[in-house]
Amino acid sequence: MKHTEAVLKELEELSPRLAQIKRAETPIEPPASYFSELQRDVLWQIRQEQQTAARPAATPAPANGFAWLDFLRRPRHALAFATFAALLVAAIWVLSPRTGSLDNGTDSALATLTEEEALAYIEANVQDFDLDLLAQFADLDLLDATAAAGWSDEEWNDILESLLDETDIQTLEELF
Amino acid sequence: MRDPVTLERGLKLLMDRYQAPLYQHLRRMVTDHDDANDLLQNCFIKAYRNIGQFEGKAKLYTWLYRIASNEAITFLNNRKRRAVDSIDENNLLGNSLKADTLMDGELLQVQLQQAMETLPQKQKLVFTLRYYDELPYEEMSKVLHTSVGALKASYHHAVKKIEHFFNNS
Repeated sequence: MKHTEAVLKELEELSPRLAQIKRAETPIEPPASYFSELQRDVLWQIRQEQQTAARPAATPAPANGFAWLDFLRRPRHALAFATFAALLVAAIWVLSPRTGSLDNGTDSALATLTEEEALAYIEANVQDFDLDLLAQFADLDLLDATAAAGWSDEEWNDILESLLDETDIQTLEELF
Repeated sequence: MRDPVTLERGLKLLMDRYQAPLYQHLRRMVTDHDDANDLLQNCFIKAYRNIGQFEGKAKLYTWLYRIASNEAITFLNNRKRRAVDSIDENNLLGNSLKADTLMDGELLQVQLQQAMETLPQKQKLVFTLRYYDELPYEEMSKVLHTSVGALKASYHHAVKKIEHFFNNS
């Protein structure tokens, strides 16, 4: 690769001083173990690139997906939703005709359930509610998850009460 | 050759063979070790990515020198654009190489590097490829896509400017 003699001969003619400097030239020394680290770094970067390229692109959430349920992670909103659920339970048993789907013992127990008791139960067991059903409920477009993120407790109560008024019995029964 | 394992093995062989001369080349061009390191890594990564496009018409080291030289020129242009004033830029090498005590030979090497800093970038590249890397003009022509005659003229001008720098320092 190198043509030292040809280069030196040419240099002697152009600049004897530079030719002399070249003869005394020493290569620049990189830090110790530099080249082995270089190979490791280059291969690491290449593997990172390959992994990134192989990773499938993130798929956007479907329009009616479960993303809106994220707001339930906030305790305040979870409690508000539980309140809404409690009101729905009460509404079902007050408004609907007896269907016989529950045995008489459960029926009578629910009939005597106070709102406070229902609220306490749902608050304690909010994790047990079926997300699929909640998502199905969301498909009714009764909730706007984007706007919900900024609601105050008072707004939540008003909205949940209005939702209760607007929801028909059949929908309520499907939820529970 | 598309198998990643084979490609990696090929890259390692390539690096074993050419990393030292390419490091010297880049270090002479940009002077700072960390900058040379970044450029050398980019050079090998680009070589790995584009090895499929290497047609074998040129020699492998010519191809690698072309990638490295392009990296160096791009870097130097960016450095210039970042409004590093000329005094700082010209002193960069002196600061990085100058030691408290220098032997006569080392002092001359530092002065030579300082003289190179006064050259236009393309001329500096031509001088580095010829003086340090000792490439034949024909290979330099393939690296830089410039005629042999123009390269000879550029190298001669560079040598004369450096000679002039020594005479005035």
